[in-house]
Amino acid sequence: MRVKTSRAHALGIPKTDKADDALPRIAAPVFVKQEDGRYAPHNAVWPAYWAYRHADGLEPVPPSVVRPWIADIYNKDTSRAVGRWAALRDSDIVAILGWLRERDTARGTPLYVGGGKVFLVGRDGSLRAEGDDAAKAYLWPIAHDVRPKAQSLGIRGCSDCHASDAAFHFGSVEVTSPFVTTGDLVERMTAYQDQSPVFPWLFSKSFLFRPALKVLVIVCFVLMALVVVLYSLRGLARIIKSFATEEE
Amino acid sequence: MTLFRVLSVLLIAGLLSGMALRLRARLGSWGAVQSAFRRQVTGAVHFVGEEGKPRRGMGLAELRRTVYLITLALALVLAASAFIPVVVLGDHPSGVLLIIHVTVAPFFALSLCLAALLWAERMRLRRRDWEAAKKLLRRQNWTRGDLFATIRRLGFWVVLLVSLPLLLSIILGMFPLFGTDGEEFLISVHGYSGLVLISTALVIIYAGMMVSRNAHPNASKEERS
Repeated sequence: MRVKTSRAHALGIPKTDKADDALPRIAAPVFVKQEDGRYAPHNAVWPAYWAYRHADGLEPVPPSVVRPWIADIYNKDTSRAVGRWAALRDSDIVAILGWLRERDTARGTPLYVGGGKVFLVGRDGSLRAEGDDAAKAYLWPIAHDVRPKAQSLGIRGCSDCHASDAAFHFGSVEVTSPFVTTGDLVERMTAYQDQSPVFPWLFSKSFLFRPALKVLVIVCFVLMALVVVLYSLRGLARIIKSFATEEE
Repeated sequence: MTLFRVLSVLLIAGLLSGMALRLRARLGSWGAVQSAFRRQVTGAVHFVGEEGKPRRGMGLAELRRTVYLITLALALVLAASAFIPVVVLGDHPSGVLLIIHVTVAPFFALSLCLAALLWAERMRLRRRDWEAAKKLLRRQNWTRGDLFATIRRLGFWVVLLVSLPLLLSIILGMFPLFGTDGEEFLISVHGYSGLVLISTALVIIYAGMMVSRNAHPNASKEERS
C-alpha cells in the first residue's frame, strides 16, 4: 500500500497537498532481507530521473535541464491532461534522450531511470529496457525497526509470516513510474528477500502438519528424557550399591 | 555464525580425516579403506533392502538393527542439509536444504526415540566398560574390541543426552514464547547440539568399522558382538 511520511510529504505544514495520491509515491511495508540476514519492514520509493551513463556509473541530469523539453511536449499536445506526474510515452523518452545526446555527446550514453529499470535508445532507434542497480528501489526501515508489541510480527503465531497468503512473503509491491508504457508494475515480496517464491510457499504448506509435528516431537522428547533419567537412576543405584558392598 | 562455522569445519574435517588416516594405517592402502567402506555400505543397504522390511515374525534384533540404520541415515541427511550451508556458504540453511531438513526432522525424532527404547538396555554401561576405561587411562593392555564397544555404548548415551537439548530447543522455538534474541539463542543451542551429535555419530560409525569383520579381519566374535 502507499503511505505518506512527515518529511517526504511535509505533513503538518500549512498548504501542503493532503491528497491520498500526493507525490512521492512510497510503498510500505516492504519486507526486505537486510545485510545481517534479518527481515525488516521498509518504506520503498522508486527513482525516476534522467542520466548519462559513463565508466564511473550514472550521472544524473538536473530536472531543470529536462523540464523545458517536457513542457514543450505538453504544450504541443493539448490532448494530454497534466496529472500528478508528467506521464511520458515511448516517443517522448526517445526524443528527450536524443536531445540529451545532442546537448553533450562526450558525457556518455543518455538514459532514463524509472519503474525499476533503465531505458536507453537502441541501435535501431527504439527504446530498450535494462536492469540496473541504479534503478532499484530506495529502501529505509520503518520506525527505526521498533514497533509496538501488538503490531509485531509473530504476535498472532507462526502464520503471521508463514501462511501461504501472508504478506510477509507473498505480498505484492507496487513499482510506480511516470512512464506510461511501463505503467505501475507489481513485484513479489520475495524479490526483496533474495529467494524464489517457491520455497516460502512449500515451507508455509509444511505448517499444515505443524500441530501434529509438535505433538510427535514432544512425545519423542519426553520418552527419550525418561529413558535417560531411568538409566541414570539405575547407574546411580549401582554406584550406591557398590559403595555399600565395599564397606561390608 | 563465524565461530560456529569454524568449529564445524575443524571438528567435522578433523574427525573425518583422522578416521580416514587411522583406517588407512590399519588396512595398509586407500584401496583397502575404500573396499571396507563399500562393504559396510553395501551390507547396510542389503540388510535394510531385503531383510529390514517389517514383516510377520521379524525378530526384535532385526527391528533394532533396522531402526539403528534408519536413524543413522536420517542423521546424515539432517547433518548434510544443516552443515553444508553453514560450512560452504557461512549462512543458515534455507531453500531446498531447509525444506529437506524440516521434512526429515520429525522422522529422525521418531526413529531416535525408537532407537532409545530398543537399544537402551543393550547399550547400558557395564562393569567391563569401566574396566576398559581404567585400562586405557593406566596405559595397561586393553582389547581393541572391548575399547571400541565401550566407545559405541558411551557414544549412544552421549547421542541421547545431546538429543535432549537438540529437540527441546526446536520444541520451544515452535511456540511464541521467546523474542528474536531468545529464538537466536535456541537456534545456537540446536546448532551446537547437532554438531556434538554428528561428531559422536561419526565416532560411533568409526568404532563400528574398527570392530567389524571387514575392517578388522582378526576380530573375535566377542569383539564384533
